Order: sequence, then structure tokens, then C-alpha cells
Amino acid sequence: MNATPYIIASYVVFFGVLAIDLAAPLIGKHRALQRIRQQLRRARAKAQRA
Amino acid sequence: MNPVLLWFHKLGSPPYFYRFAGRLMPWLFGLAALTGAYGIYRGLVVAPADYLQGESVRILYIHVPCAWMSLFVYGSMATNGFIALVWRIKLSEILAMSAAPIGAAFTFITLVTGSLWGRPAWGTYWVWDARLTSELVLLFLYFGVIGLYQASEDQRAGARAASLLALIGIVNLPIIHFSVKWWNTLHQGESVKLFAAQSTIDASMLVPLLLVTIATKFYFGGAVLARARVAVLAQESGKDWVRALALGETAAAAGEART
Repeated sequence: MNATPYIIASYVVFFGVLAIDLAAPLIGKHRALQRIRQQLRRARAKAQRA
Repeated sequence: MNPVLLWFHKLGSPPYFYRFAGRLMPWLFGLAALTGAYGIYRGLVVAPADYLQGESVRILYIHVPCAWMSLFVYGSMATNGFIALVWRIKLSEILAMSAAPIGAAFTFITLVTGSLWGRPAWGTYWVWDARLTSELVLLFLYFGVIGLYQASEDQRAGARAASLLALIGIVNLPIIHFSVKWWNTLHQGESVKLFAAQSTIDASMLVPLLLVTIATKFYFGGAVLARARVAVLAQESGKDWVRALALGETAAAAGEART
């Protein structure tokens, strides 16, 4: 049996899953900082209204 | 105070940990890329085909390190979970919960690559063999830990509940490791022993295997720190240092946009 397609599929899964795993914290950090900035903007707007 | 103890105390402080992890991460990812690239090159190009398995043996250069990592990460998660439960150290909770998705990723890769190796080697993608089934149970344990942590409104309470599940699930690790000895399985026994002289694998195959294993260890170090930094930011969002960081990064981005 020709093993090449199975080898290629295995390495694609390996790199694909690790790439997704690596991207998750990058997106998470961006979102967390965005949420904090939004909170700060809201607090500043509330203080100005008061 | 002893400088090492002092450093450990400092590491427990979220702003110090955030900065320390940020400095260490690029080195860990860099070393993972270097050792991983060389290991995979050795595995795909330099190492010979196996006399019995043929070319399909090249799948094992990623399958075996990922299988080892699936157990190692679980052990690390349960250890941090134990520290979090006993001493209530916030950073241990964060590290335990940050390790869970990485462990799940390694377990998933192990199961899929094992299945892809099984088709040419055994003639089937899956058998309900003791080793394969116990590894699948490990994946479900990781999912359970992640689900329990995410389900709770209070992150710290969720982390403690998930840590308890991680500790209970540790009973599965010796079952996975010894399954090939305890039961008559289709999965082969261990070829790599702690002492190289006892190993039944040739050096030309052992070297790429160990290089990829070292790379996955470095990768785990970097990835767990990256996830822990995000969790620290989320948990400390009300603190001045996080606000300063958020505003500082906005200012830096605005400066970059202007230039």
C-alpha cells in the first residue's frame, strides 16, 4: 500500500492543529485588550456625563 | 531570603509573570521551530524506511512525540491543579487551565496520526484496542476539564472544579502507559526505553524521534505561557497595570498609524 497520502495527511493534521492552537492565544490577547479598552471608554463617558 | 525563593514569590505576582512570560516565549518558540524543523527533516529525509512498516514509519516521528506529550501535559495540568487546590495559588489555576487545550490538541493529533498510520500498517483506521481506547478517554478527560472550566461564571471556582476532575483523571495515565503490557493489544509495545542501550530502535530513527520530542516540549512551554498571559489579562482586567497596558498598546498603535 502506498503510504505517501497517509504521511502527508498526518503532517497536515500536525501542523494544522498546532497552528490553530498557536493562533488562539493571539486572538484571545487582542480580544481581552479590546474589552478592557471598551470598559475604560464606557467609564470615561459615564464620568463625563456625571 | 533565598534568591530562588524570592524569584518564585515574585513569579506569583501577575504583572511580573506577564512580563517574564512575554520575554521567555519567543525563545521557547524559536527553539521549538529549530529543533522541530531539524527533527522532521531527519525523520522525512535522512532516516531509512522501516523493513516491516516501510515508509509509513515516518508518521511515527510526530505520532510518538505527541502521544508522550498528551501524557506529559496531563501530568503537568494535574500537578498545577493539585497546587491550586491545596495552596490556592492563582497562577497554578491559570497554568493548569491553560495546559488543557494544548493537551487536548496533542491527544487529538496522536489519535488522528495513529489512525492514519494504522490504515497502511494494520489495514484499519481504528480498533477498540486498550491503548487506543484509553487514549480516547484521555481526550474526553481534557474536554471535560475545558468544559467544566468554561461552564462556571466564576473563573476561579471553575478552575478549582476542573482541577479536581484533572486529579481524578490522573488514574488514566498508568492505564495508557501500561495498557500494552497488561492486555494483549494490537498496538506495539514500547521500543524506546529510558536507557538507550535497552531501546530496540536504531539510532537513525531514535535521533529524529527525540528531536521532535524536545521540540514539542519547547512548544508546550511557549504555548502554555501565551495562554496563561491571556488568562492573566482577563482575570486582572480591573487592575491599574492592565489598564495602563491596554492604553499603552493603543497609544503605540496610534503612533504607528501616524508614522
